Amino acid sequence: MSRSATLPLPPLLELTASQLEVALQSASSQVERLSNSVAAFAKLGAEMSAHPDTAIAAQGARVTAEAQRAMFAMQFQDQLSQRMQHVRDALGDMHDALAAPTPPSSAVLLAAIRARYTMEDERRLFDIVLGHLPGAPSANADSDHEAARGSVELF
Amino acid sequence: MRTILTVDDSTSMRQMVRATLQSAGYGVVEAADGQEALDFARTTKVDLVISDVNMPRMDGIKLVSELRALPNYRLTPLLLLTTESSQEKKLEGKRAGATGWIVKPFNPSQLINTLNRLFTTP
Repeated sequence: MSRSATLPLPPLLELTASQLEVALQSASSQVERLSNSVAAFAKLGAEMSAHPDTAIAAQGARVTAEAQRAMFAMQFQDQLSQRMQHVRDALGDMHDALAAPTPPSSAVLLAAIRARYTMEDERRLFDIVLGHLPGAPSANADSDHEAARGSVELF
Repeated sequence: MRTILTVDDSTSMRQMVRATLQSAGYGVVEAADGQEALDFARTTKVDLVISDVNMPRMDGIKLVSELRALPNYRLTPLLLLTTESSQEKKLEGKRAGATGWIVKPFNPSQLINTLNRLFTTP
């Protein structure tokens, strides 16, 4: 008897993927509300900055700076959301592979999961954990993307 | 007023790009994916495009190459704003005709400086 016959793996994978999906949807609507508020503050700051009264204009510049800091920080939610979507999709791929009458080879499955990644540190972590690269999983995985964050390159 | 088309499938990212650009006096139009952006660009000329890379229906790199094929967009600055930081993807964007590559999260004041620079460079 195979392990998947004794453990209800496909429904467990489906359940976990669904829970992630619910969490993503719920977080997304709240983040949209929050980003709307921050955008309103940025607009207010810009309007105040253009005021002829210098005291109001200075206050506006401070509001704008704070709104910009908030906008930068809030973008990490976008990254978190992407990472969670990739985990959810990987669980879906594993579910489909287990449920398929002719399951794909592990190489095909892993390649499909890796191809979904959009961040260099996701690929690096995948390679370290699966033994294609040396290094501890937590040691260097974030460093490349960390260094690239916010970088602007004009061609 | 210069108008910028921002393309991202994340509503909150579009809101943040919009707020940043509007606070600097730019007009903003939005699209949720590459196909929607291309459909818009076929009928309307904007001064600059900022696009995400990974999106449903049409990704940002394909959008750049499609826009470059439109006579109105041959010289328009096209920026890709993405979580992707791999050299391979960057090169793909450059080959497609992108003007630049910005890795998320973007710094609002740096983004404005970049746009101002692009608009003042002949």
